[in-house]
Amino acid sequence: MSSKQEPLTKLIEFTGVLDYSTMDSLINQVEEEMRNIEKVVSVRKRVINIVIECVENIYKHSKILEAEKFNENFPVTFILLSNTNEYVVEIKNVIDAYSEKIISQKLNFINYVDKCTLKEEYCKIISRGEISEKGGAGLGLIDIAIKSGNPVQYKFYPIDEIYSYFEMFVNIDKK
Amino acid sequence: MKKFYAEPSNVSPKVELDPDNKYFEISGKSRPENCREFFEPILDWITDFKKEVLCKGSDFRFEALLVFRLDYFNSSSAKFLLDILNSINELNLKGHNISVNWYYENGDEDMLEAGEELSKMVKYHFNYIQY
Repeated sequence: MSSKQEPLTKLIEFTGVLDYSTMDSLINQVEEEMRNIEKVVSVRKRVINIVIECVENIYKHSKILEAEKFNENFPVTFILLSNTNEYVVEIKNVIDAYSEKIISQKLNFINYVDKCTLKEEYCKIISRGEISEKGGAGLGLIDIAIKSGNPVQYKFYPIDEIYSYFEMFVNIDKK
Repeated sequence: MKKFYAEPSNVSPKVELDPDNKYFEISGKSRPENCREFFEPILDWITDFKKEVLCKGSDFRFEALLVFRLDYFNSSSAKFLLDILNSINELNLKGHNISVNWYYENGDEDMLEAGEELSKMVKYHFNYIQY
């Protein structure tokens, strides 16, 4: 999960069905926690921004997939962890094969290129950007990677021939 | 033209577009549930406003200040902020003068960088103000 060895402490954990009001209160909870514990403005805001992009992505996918039917065995999971060196955002959610392909391509690209190229890609997407039917602009993962400054770790666990359980870890340095 | 005003909420920014006072402001948090629904009326208002300004003839010069003082914005909002800036910049390209003040919290390098990126994309100068 983390390249650094120091154990991580859970700050906030959510498991279940993520509807809009749950997402909203989760983000508020993270904001409040970060205001209380993180005095470095840039780090605090980076964590909040990354959490927003992560949970909004989950919410958009959940809406499309009617995620309730997977809730028992493959629930939406969000965990914010911390040690002295970093914060880690861990998410898990069900996605379909089409999304798996898109996410996998995007994350491979994100982890392969440098920050400069990522910023260029961000500007390219935002300039031509059509907001998708899901409500996003395809920018979320790139924004997460730029703000995190670290490779995004991820895995897909197949559920059946259509669906996978997607797991992602985002590391944010405390500096 | 009647001013545009949207109350700030926990997920959406305060938007004040007040041509009589030559003052435009977008401030607060921006992560509306549906960005399109939130930002489209703003873009429509700007389109109507531009028509009104341009109707006044080539001797008329409109001057105003556009303030961005955002705590944070999500990636979907970023696209609409760019649309707003591009739309307003059409007036600048026609000789009007709407200057942009981009505020960022002391230490919030990402917000400063976001302003710099947007400025580069719309190709006009922002004033950066730390608070």
